[in-house]
Amino acid sequence: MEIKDIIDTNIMGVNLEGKTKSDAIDVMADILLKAGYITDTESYKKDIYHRETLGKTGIGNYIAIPHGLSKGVVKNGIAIGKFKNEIPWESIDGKGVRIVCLFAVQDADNAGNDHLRMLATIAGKLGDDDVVKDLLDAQTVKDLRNAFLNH
Amino acid sequence: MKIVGVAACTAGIAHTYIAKEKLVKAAEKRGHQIHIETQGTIGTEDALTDEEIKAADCAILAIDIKISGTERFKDIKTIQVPTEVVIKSPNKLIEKAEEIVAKN
Repeated sequence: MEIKDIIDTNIMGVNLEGKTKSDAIDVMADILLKAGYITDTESYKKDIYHRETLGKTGIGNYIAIPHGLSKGVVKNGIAIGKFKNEIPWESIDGKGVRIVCLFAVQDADNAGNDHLRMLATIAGKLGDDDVVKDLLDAQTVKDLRNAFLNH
Repeated sequence: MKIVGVAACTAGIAHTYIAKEKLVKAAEKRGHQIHIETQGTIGTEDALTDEEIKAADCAILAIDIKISGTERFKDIKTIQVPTEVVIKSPNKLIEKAEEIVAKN
């Protein structure tokens, strides 16, 4: 399995609208629901908000990575959304967020290590300033996808 | 210098791997050799060998939780910080490691 097998433009969006963190998570969870990654939005969001209580998911440079293990997830993936406006978010550099990478991770024994390893690889790429720059410059979902594939 | 270390975060899904990437990038930029083990949801990956730890000038533990195998680092200089510090200021941390190693 490679990164391109798990990076899915069906769960990406640009020019998304939202004023608050709650708006952003709602919009992104809806994208995951429509694409068949999650079946139970409420229980999924509950698990995401639980992780939010444990520490900041704003990793600086306008990027947030809300995530959590959830039984509401049927397929592992990362929804990536670029929002029109900066959204207030608890972050390590005190800035808001433009790019939300919402991780959907199955809470199951057979969650599939291959998938999780790919998610870990994608997370690692968010630690690369070149990837972050491309994400912030992205105009289309294809640009978002390429940010991960080109570095 | 030679740096070894471990990254591990609360959920073991995302911060662990971002912290690893930041540490590796910052250390290599300053000409150091670095090997970071990750302890996450998928278990331990890129495990450190005893030889690597023995040969290292220092260890960086970027951890938000208790990890297994901390006793491996008892004989070398060790810096322990939360993953957040690594993600926010990787370069500063590597500079601090350089200072600590230089002090003897």
